[in-house]
Amino acid sequence: MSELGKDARALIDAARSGDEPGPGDKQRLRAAIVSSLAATAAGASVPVVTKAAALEVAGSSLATVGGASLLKKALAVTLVAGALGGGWVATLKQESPSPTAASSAPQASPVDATNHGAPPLALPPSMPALEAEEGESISVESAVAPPSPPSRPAKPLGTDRRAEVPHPAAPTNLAEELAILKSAQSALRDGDFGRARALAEEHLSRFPRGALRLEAQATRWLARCASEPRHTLTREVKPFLDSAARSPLADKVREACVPDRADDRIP
Amino acid sequence: MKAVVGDTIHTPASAPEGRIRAPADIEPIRDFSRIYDEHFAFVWRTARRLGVPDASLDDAVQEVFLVVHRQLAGFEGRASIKSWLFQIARRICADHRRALRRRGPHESLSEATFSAPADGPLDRLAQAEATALLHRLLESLDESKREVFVLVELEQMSIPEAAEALGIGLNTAYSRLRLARRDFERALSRARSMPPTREVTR
Repeated sequence: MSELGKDARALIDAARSGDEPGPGDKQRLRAAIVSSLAATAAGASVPVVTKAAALEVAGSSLATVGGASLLKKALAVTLVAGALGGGWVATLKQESPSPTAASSAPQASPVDATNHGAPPLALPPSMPALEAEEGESISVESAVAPPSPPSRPAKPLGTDRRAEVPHPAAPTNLAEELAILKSAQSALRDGDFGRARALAEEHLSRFPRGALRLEAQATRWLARCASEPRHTLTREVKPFLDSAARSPLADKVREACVPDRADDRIP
Repeated sequence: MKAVVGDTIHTPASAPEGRIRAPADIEPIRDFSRIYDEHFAFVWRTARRLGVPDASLDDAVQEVFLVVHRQLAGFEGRASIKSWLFQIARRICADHRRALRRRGPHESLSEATFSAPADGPLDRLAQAEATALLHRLLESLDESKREVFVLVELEQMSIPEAAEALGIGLNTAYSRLRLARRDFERALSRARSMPPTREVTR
């Protein structure tokens, strides 16, 4: 069979390494995969566990987890703070207390109940484990939430290659967040600015690390700027505009809250 | 039950490297991690070479590993791990290419189009241009030829390995590779005869 010519071979040799991933790609994608799996797990699992449960995995004494369906199940949440660009990982492990079930399905997916046979998420050896503190209650939401609030809705798939990978909130919380924000925005459209602001603030207090936090903040500012003299808010709104500089929401808020673009250059 | 914290994240020192074992005798936690660590670059390269634009690359690679995670327990080790990964990757890459065609050509402009190091070091520029040209030439190949070309010429798999990864017979693999090489050479000649362009499309 004819081989490639010299020119083609030289091109391939020159170009081959151009397709290698960059130094941060592997870790970034790992964090994104972890987030996706954790989000899936959170959606398929119960919302609340105790940190004690995570420490008592060996004893499987997890009856305190709560919920009738959980009486036969144990759920352990291991939080691992990774060196993956601030990534947080939740490994959810679910097991049946039944000895036969436990022995017959040792490799059943601990991540996704619908994900039969899939292995639990593996974590890199370089990731230090964050030891849970006994007795302190945590939720799956907090397990999958990042240490600092994400500035955009969680988007495990479709992340910008070079952007920090956002971490999804539990889907149930996301639905709740969305419901509150929808109401707030509806109130905003109806001119009920007080209610819009109250709902946005409710969102922010209930979901301080929510995936839609930025949207809630923007809604609150839009409500305030519609109901209060704009010039009094110009300075107050600046930190938000700075923090959300890349968001289209910032433009909306700026338009609503800053009388003139020149005023954006507040000393 | 074993403690979860800490010890599940380590690959055991005794684990033999490079041997694909059936899931029954391995701990999947560790294996997924190993597969990811050892084959991430392969999946990444494959996605790029099978025509996934940079803008969708993260998605495609992530999808591949999510499928791997889901299907790992069912992987019987009959094929090599690379073949298995390639089979998953080619399906996902095909989906991404289809989606790209639906969205229109403007979506195919990757970020590298705008971030090519035109004023960077010469070697980086040369490599970026070579890679861009390689991708253009790969783009000119039929999908079936492209796949075998990528595996054999770029990933340096043997032809039997490539045939296995593609699920085709050995003779078919040889035939496709021969045609792929011919088409690649022709496309390269055409590209060389055209006036140089500064645009880097990948």
